[in-house]
Amino acid sequence: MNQFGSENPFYGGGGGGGGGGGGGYLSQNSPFGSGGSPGGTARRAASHALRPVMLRQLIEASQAHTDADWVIGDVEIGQVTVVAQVLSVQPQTTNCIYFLHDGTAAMEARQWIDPNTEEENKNREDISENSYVRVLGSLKVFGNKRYITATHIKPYKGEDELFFHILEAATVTLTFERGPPPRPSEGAHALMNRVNNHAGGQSAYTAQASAPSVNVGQFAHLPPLQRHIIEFILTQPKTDEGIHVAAIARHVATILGPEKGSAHKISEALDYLMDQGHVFSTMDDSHFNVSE
Amino acid sequence: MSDNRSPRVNKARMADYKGRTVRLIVKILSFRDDVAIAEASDSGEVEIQLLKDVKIESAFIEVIGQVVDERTIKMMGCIQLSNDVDMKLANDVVEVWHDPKFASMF
Repeated sequence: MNQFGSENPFYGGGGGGGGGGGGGYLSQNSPFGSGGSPGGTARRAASHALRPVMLRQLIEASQAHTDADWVIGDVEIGQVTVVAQVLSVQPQTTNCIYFLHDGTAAMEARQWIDPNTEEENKNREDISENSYVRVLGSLKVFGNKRYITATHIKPYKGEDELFFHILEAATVTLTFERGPPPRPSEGAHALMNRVNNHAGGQSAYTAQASAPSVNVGQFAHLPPLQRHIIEFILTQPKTDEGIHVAAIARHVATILGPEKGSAHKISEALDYLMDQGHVFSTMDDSHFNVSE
Repeated sequence: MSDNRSPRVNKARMADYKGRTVRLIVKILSFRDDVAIAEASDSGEVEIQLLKDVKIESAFIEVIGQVVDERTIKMMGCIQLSNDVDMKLANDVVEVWHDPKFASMF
């Protein structure tokens, strides 16, 4: 998932996780808060990131202060790409202004013209009003007007590119909110568990009976909360950093409800699992992996 | 939904946007004077009140216009598309557009 930038709320270093009772696993805000950004590393990584977006997301992006990175929701953005309709083209001496609209908002894109660059000049001739284009660039602001400084503007390759862009922008937004979708190998397993647990009160027995994976078999003797924690960690992509406790908490609360999946209970469960040697903490007290 | 938004719709969703500007991808079925009959991405039939002097040369177009009623749209602008648009995909995009999960984006 690196192409979507560094910012995955579950993998950023935990904000203020240290100290306090209960092992201090969870940030003071709430067990379901997203992990904070580690600051310096994230900023450098974000500038290399390219994110597909809708123009409305750019209109509504915010900036902590001038020269800070732009942020969509909680996620820093580097460069962006849009597919939008050209409403008008205004060539000027040193640059060319395109007015764009993609159904969600309107915005200007400016592309600097270098008279020596033959290839760009040829591309620009293909761009006419009322056609769709693919734009790559960065969000900038002048006064209170936002616009895109475009490094590339070219005609789109067909409606498939338009549809793909919309769906990709939606996928990326959801991925930043909820983490990546389960891998195909674990997909059926994770979905089945969710379905079974929602199906009624027999969650403990149903989940056990349906769990096809060998891994989960060895944890079948554990109480449901701990089993869910382990299963969740197993369905996530494997990294050295491990899984952030906020992500675990969010998942468990969805299945068991806020009472059984409370921050306190999860802390206790993690403690127990660590004593038994089933999980271990990785980069800090907020990240865990399953032992194998 | 004022300001500058033109949500993507299909025939079924048009009724929710009466009087508002929307984007509709359609396949042209026939012309009659200054009205075109077309098929939206969910196979529903719609009537498009055409703009004067717009020559439609491809089988599929995106109509940007104001919804008159649940089967009629008054064209304000039009984008010619290719002659081979995957309407099932277009419909899936419309449904994603209106999915509450993405309400902040679209």
